[in-house]
Amino acid sequence: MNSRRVFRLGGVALAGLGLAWACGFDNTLREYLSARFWLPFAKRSWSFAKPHIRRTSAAYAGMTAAAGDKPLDKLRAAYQQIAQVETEAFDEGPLRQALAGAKGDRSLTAREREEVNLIDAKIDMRAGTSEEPERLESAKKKLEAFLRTARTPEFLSEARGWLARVHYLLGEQAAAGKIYLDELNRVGSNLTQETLLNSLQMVYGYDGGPQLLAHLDEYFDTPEHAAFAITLATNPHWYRDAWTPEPPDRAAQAYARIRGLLEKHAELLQSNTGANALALLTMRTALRMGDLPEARKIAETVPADAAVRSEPDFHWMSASAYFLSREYASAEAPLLALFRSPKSSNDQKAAAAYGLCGVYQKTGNVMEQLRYALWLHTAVRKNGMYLSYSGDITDYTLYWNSSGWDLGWLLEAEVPLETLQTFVEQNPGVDDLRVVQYALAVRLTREERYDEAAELYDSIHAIVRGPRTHRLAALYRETKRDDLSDAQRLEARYRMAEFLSANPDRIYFNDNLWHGFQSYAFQGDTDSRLTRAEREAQIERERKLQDDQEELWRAYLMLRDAVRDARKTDLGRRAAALGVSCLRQISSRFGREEDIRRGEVELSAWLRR
Amino acid sequence: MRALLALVPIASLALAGCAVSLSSAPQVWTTGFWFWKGSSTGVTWSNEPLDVLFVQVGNIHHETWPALVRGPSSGWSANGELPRRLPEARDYWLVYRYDRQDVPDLKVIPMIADSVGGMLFAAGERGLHVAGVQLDIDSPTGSLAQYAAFLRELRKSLPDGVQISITALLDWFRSGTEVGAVIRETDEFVPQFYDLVGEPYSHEGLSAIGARIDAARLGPVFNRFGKRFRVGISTFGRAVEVSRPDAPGRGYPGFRIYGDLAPIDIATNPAFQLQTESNEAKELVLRYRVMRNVRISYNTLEPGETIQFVVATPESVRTAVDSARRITGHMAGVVFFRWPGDRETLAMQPGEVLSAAGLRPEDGQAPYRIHTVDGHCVAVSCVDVFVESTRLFSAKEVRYRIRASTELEYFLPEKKLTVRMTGPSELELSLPPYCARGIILVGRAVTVNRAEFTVEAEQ
Repeated sequence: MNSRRVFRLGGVALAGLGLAWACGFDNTLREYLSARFWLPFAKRSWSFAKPHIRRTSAAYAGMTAAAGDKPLDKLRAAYQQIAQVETEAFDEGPLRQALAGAKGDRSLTAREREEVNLIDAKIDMRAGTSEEPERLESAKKKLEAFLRTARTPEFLSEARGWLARVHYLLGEQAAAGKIYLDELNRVGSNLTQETLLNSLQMVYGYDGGPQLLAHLDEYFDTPEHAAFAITLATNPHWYRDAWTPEPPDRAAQAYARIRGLLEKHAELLQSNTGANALALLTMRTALRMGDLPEARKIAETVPADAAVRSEPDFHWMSASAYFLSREYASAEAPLLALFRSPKSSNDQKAAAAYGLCGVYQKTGNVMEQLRYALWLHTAVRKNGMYLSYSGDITDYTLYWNSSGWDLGWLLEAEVPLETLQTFVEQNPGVDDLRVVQYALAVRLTREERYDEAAELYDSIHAIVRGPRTHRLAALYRETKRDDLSDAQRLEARYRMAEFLSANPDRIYFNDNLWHGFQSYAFQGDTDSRLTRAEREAQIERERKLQDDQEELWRAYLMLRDAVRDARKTDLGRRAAALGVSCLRQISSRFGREEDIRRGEVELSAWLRR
Repeated sequence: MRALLALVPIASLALAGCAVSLSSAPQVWTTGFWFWKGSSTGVTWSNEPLDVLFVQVGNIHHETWPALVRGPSSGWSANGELPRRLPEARDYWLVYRYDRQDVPDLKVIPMIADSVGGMLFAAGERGLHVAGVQLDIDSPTGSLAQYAAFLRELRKSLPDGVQISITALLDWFRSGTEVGAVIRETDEFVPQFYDLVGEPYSHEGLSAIGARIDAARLGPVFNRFGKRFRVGISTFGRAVEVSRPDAPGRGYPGFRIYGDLAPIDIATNPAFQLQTESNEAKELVLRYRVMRNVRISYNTLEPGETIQFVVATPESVRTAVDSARRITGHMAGVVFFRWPGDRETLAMQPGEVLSAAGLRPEDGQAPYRIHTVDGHCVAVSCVDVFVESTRLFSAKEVRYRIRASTELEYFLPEKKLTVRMTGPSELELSLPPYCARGIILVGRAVTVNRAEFTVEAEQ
């Protein structure tokens, strides 16, 4: 490898390390125990786009090539000069002249006349600003008149888009948003989906703000408008600044009003097109406001054959209502329905899987908990799923935790060994079973079942751990031989301890799970979402794992016993020296600082005597 | 002779007119605060309107990168932004600060004027009455003539009716300086009686922030210009690490300022020993002397070093205000530096300041209260418990007894605090002397169902 390549690789590695350091890592674990996980799914403008809407792609008025000398060509040429410039003032004189010329041309076709009228309105629009709205008002009148009389579909579509923009510039959020929303799902629209989604985002942001809440009534002209407005207004928020009480929640304060509107317009929302809307909107509103009994009541009263029961949002909100009410078992069915629904997106399936992990953790069904945690691991990997934010960002839906630590804990300690074995036996074809098998093999070594572990490693082609575990198994067998003298058995124990000390993190530590972040997953003493019993069990589990997985500590314990049994012999001295060395190398993740210090003092003192 | 004698009173009046403007009316006493970067409206305040608020809206900045790097700009800029939320006041002043000990170049004046224009528009939209602009510029005493020229040009660029105020260093008022030329170009000036001892941030200055106001000596000095003035008084605090004088390799000046350290961060650490004193300005000085190697933030402290807190007290404020009141003439009141941030423990709360100054009665609220913030846990109820103390440091250990309305599953205390469960639904929080101040996060309480919390203090 030449020096330039070394330098380049080193630079890349350094940059990667720097990036990782700067970016941090996801440290979420058991997020189903946080109310945040169960918030209704956040919706964005694209959530309201229907699939497979056929669109047109015709040139806008004034934007076709202006090659000729006719008045319309001159108007097009003049307009194209200002078509891209939005913020700079322009000289209207030449434009008005060209416009007058085009309007006076009797040879224009009906379509061309419409084009001229639309350009006229667009000139006013481009001349107007929010600070000087008179031209915008003029543009609005012209566009509205145009929409009443014009016939060319692509010009009509374009005019609607510009009218929405004028409404936006005039601060008329509802009027602007409704047009954009209609165009988004209108067959034959001449506006691109991207333009419309961006426009909706610009008009409403994340939740429409106070203006949306103030004008909610205006959206109850169609079920689609109403559903859009209520959904955005009830987008979840997650206030994470612990130092000050939460600021007044605007949407929560509007709860009564939103409920009133939903009741008042129930017929609209129960129409054919709105059949799904009422139940979903009232459930979403109730959940968003923390009214769990109301959300559950709605879920339970929706008829069994209602179409809404197949909606992913319905399943999610039903499950949320139950889980947040601490009726964990009741959340299982809707989560399974969400998981299995063909309508669910990958993210929604992941949310269902993670929710099921929570259900099964609470109901004590570790086998199923493992199944869904493993599914999550596989799905994220196979589908290239990622959360574009850390687990800590406010307001966005948390579908699953990127850290993968829930699976880690299940495999390391929460699932009993026998259950792991049963899972492996009963699920031979499941994706990523190897992760479970590897963890099982590690757990077997911790129980000193080295032969079984070695065979399992061999079966999954763990070509490094397999031979190493075979070697360890042989060393272990030596320590158990009845036909050896005491001294020989002591020597065998020493050799085994020596082997362990030469292989830290390579025998009892599962190097397949944590990617260097295991100590961050030790959260038992700081996780306040657990009951007292769960917390005490978790703290005990963490301590046991730390003890079981630490080769150097286990080696030290063997050596300490060997020192005691060997007494002042050469073997005793070697064991003591190696024991001290092991203690000094133990990783900080192990803890037990006082025990380590005491052990080191004891053995060092013994060596000096 | 009689004619000559008749001229004397006329001459006296004329002479007096050189020193004191005959058109100046007695000033109305006002009280104000500086609202600085980091100040917050989240602090405990009754929301009654203040007389005047000096709001730091922006900075005057000089970029010294070479032109090759910074491009064709002159390197000067003046930017400002009105804080989104402000305490209510009858008058507001827009404060621009220049961080260098120098006089800005005239080139920056149009930028200041532009920025002021924008601020005035924004303030108008919000219904805020802006009285003028204040410049916080620490001109060297030898550059005061240049500063006067700067102010003269600035006045020409500002809209009509916008007054000019300046902060003023006491050193400017010694004899033989051009301070008169500067003050002539202003509508008012505000001498600051803090951070005066020795050079700023010198070893000498570390044990004091506020300075004594010698009304008898300074009153005539300030009044001779015939212009309105206010007196700036310190109500904030500071934490400084002071190295041993004999420490090798520490280098000048041998201290380090901590922006966010509070006594509670140090007091529970057995590596420190506390000494207290009151300085000449009646501020409280807490010296935590290092007894063995210890790490604070990213720094390792060695025995002999000290972490020192200097904080304003009701007594220091009262003394300063009483002294200020003895100045008459064009004295228009006091301005307190500064309005605190919402998590500050070293700055006095506005209510405390005004009570200490005798400008409002002590409020009848309990000096401490509890509030909780929901942690939004599902399977249990979890809340962060805060105890807020609205009184200045207690010289004795303070014990709070916190009671929950239901049994606690467990409690996770904040690391540096001494908190213990004294019963199934009771906690005891012990705070060392001088630590019972501001908002203290006690820890997270976990109960099966939602609980209410109450607090009592024992001393």
